[in-house]
Amino acid sequence: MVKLFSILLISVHLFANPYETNCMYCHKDKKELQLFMAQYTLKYSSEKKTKKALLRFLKNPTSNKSITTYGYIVKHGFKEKSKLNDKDLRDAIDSYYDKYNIKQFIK
Amino acid sequence: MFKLPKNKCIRKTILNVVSVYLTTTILLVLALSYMYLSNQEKHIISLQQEKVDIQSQQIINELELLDDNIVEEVAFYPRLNNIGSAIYDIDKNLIFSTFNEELSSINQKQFFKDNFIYYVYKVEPYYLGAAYLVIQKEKTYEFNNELTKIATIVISIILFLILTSFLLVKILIKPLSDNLNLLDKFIKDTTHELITPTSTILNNIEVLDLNKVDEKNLKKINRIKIGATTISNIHKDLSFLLLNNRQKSENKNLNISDILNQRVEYFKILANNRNIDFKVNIQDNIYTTIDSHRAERLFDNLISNAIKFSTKKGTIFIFLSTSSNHENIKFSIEDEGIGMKNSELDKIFTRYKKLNDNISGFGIGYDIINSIIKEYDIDIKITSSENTGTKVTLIW
Repeated sequence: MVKLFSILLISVHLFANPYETNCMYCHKDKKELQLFMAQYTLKYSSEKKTKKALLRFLKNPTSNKSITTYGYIVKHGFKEKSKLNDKDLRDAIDSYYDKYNIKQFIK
Repeated sequence: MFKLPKNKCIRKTILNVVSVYLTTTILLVLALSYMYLSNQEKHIISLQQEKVDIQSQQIINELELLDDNIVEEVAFYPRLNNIGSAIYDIDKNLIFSTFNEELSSINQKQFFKDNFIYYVYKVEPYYLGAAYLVIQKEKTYEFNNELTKIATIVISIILFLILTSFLLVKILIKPLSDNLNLLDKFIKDTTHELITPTSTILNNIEVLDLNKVDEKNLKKINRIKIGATTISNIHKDLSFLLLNNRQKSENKNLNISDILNQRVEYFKILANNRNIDFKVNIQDNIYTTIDSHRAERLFDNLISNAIKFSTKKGTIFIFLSTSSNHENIKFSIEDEGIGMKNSELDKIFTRYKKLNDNISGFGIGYDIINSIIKEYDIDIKITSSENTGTKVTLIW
């Protein structure tokens, strides 16, 4: 029984989306995520440039690369470098973009 | 209403002058209209540009507002009356559009596609990701109005030109036309006046008892007969030429063998006078549908030409027969005269064209022949060589 449960747990972990398993643990507020996406879109415009900027920031976050305000950083602290490999990081960014890109809200 | 003169030559001149005048002026008018329209198009576009600038700024302001409130679930894209708009990201991918037309490129600030003008504006910051705003505006009815206005003016000018050109040509050609009409009238009157005296002379000679006339006077009477026959022939040719257009052909199934025999007999006196001999081979009873007057003119002109161009003491060969299957009739006349050059053969059917000034005549014989063979769809073949003779063959 324990064996079966362990296999199930490992499989869930293996096939889980890196966005859900890694990002959503801290970023639970949907509106906050939507706001970040709006900030990225306002600054970088296209999907390609937004994803590129996100990847660059997540791999090595600095205040220069951040799109949040100084007050937000003071309040929530600065994000650590992501420990995910490039592929997982890209998959996580793709999922985040699919879910919150501005284009889908325009009617 | 303007009526074209009946004279073919004047009519042709009028039509040539008018067509050259109209073509050049119409081309000029069209070129000027095109230049004016291009200019107006630029003017209308610049006027529209001012309006579109304001409308684009309005949309950008609305986009800014939407971007500020993006946390809402739905962002309603701003829509303005009379124009369509679309936003593109920095990589020129479409974000949202209110029009259906797909644009392959938005590289120019302003461009035309189908019935629309497109204006491209840069947006910064990128509200909702928009780096470019494209405004679509119909080519407007101002431009169509301008087009209609110009088309109306151009058509009016062309109609006016057609009218004035005909009047101008009529005024210019009037003196020439009057002179030609006068000449025509003169020939008609002269021709008419010739009928009675010529007929009187010929009829009286016919009824003369030549047995009672001595040989000296017989020669004189013969000369009078030759002269009168020549005048009668000229009279018939001129009458045919002048009245041909007005007289309808009275076609009947006629024995053209008899007609040809009569005409050969009629011209014998002229031929004998020049010691020209006729060698005749005419098949009996060949019938065809033709107007008797026209058949007579056709044979008379061919025979009299052969006599005129023959050398003295020459022979004229006349041949008439049907083909072996009786489908075609073949007529030929061959003289042993002065003949013609190949270059002269090309001009033979031109009216008043005399190929040899030393030979009497008006140069109307082949013109008459041509009009008759055209009317009855008769094929003609003329072979000639200088100082050997001419052979004319008709097949119908």
